[in-house]
Amino acid sequence: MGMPTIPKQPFRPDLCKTIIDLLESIALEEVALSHLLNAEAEKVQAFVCKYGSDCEADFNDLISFNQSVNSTLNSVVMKEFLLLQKLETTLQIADVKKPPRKFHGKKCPPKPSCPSKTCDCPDCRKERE
Amino acid sequence: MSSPLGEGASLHSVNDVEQAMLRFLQAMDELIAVYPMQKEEDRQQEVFYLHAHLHHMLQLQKLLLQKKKTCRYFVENSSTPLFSAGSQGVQPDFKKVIRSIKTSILLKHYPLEEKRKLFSVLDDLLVHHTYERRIRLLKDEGVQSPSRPLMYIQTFQ
Repeated sequence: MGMPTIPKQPFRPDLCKTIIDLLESIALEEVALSHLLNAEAEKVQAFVCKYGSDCEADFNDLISFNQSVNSTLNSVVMKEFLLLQKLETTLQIADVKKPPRKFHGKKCPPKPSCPSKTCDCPDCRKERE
Repeated sequence: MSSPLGEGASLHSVNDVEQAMLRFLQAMDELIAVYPMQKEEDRQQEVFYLHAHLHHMLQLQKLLLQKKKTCRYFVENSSTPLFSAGSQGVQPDFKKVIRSIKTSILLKHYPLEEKRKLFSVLDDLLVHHTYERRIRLLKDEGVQSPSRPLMYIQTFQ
């Protein structure tokens, strides 16, 4: 059991690009979910076409059909929940990352001196000594 | 550092899911008419699954609303106007489909209590679907938005 060897990657994206990639991945997963849901709607419509016009639906068929639809819907909802969590986490990371402060290259202005010069502040004490 | 491109894409994909939901609800409306309904036990099963499907739709709609809120905040606060138009909000068909499902349920011989439960889920679904647009309209009129969507139930009844 050795340590895994990670191959060198020529291109490593920065944090900003990674966040955009993450958000796009969420969008793509969501589009996939929408396709699944659409397929499920088509399945229901196919079932309706099969049993609606010709013959009455057998109840066992209906139950097994509903079970399968229910199971798919459950998975879609769970996945959507996970995607929402992923989105919120990604946006939190995006929020944490702030642009660094720029160094303007000038010295800070001197502090205003005490007008009375009789108080007990460290500057006045130093001057008196 | 928000990225309006990614968030805009997320917002658009939410619309795709809403379209698919609309299609599924239309299919559900057609399915209600096919149920044979011979015995009392069968009817219970039927209502159980109908309720389960609608409940899943409601859960999905709630998650989508949450997602829209999160995305829209970033998209609207970003300086890039690329995706600031965002989604088109509510599709006018949605209300029709919900109304049609309600009519189909009314025509069925379900127990009154079951009908009431199904109607409650459908109302909730519509409220969550139209919530965002209503908030925008209220904002345009200068009214402060309510804290939760359930306050709008009365409007749709």
